[in-house]
Amino acid sequence: MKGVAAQLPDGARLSPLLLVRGMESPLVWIGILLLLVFLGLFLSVLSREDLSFVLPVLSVGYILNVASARVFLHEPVSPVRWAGTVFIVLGVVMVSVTARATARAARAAEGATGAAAPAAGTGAAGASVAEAEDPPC
Amino acid sequence: MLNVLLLAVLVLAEGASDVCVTRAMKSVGEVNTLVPRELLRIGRRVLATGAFRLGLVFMATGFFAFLALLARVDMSVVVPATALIYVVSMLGAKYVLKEEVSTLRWAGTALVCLGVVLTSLP
Repeated sequence: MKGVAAQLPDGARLSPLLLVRGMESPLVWIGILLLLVFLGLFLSVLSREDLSFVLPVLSVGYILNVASARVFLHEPVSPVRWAGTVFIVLGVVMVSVTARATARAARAAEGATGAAAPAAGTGAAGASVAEAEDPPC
Repeated sequence: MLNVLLLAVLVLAEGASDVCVTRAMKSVGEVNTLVPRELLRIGRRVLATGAFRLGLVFMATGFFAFLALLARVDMSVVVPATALIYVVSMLGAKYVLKEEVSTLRWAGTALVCLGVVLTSLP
C-alpha cells in the first residue's frame, strides 16, 4: 500500500482511490489470501484449544511483525520495541506451560471418570466429525 | 470523548467476536483433517452456526471502529490500546466460555499485553 500511495498525488492518499488502486497490486491480493489462510487456521485451532490459550500464543505474530519490519522493510526498531518482544516471548512461554498443565488435568479427570463419559465440550456433533476424519498427519 | 467510545466499541466487539467464534468452533467439533472436501464440509457447518454469524458481525463492527479510530488518532496510539482486547477476551473465555484460567495464564497474558503495548509504541 505504501508503494501504491507513493504513486498517487498527495491529496488522494487518503481517498477511496487508494483502495481501488490497491486492488491492482498483486501484493495486496497475496495479503488477502494469507489473511484467509490465517482465518482458516485460527478457526481450526479454536476448535481444539482454549481461547484463553490461543490468544496469547498468537501474539508471537507481533514479534514476527517487528522482525520482518526490520529485515524486509528496513524500518528502524527501537530498544523499547525489542523489550516488548521479550515480554511477549516470556508471556507466551508462561501461557504454553499452562496448556500442558491443562491437558494433564484433563487426562487425569478422564481417567478418574472412566471412558464412559464423552468429551462434554464437543458434544455429539463434534464426536461424529472426529470419527469421520483421518488422524492428523 | 468520541475516541474513547470508538475504542470501547472496538475492544468490546473484538472480544465478543473471539468468544462467539470460539463457541461456534467448539460446537462444530475438532478439525482433524487436511482433506479439502472435508474442510469445505466443516466450513459450511461453521457458517451455518448462529454463533459464527454473530461473531462475524462483531468482527466487522470492531474492524470499522478500528478504521474510524485510525482516521482520528495516530496508529501508534490505537495499536497499543488494542492490547485491551486480550483482557476482554480472557474475561469472556473465563466467564462466558467457562474456561479454566490459571494464575500463571493470567500472568502470561498480562506480560503479553505489556509486550504488545511496548512493541506498538513508535
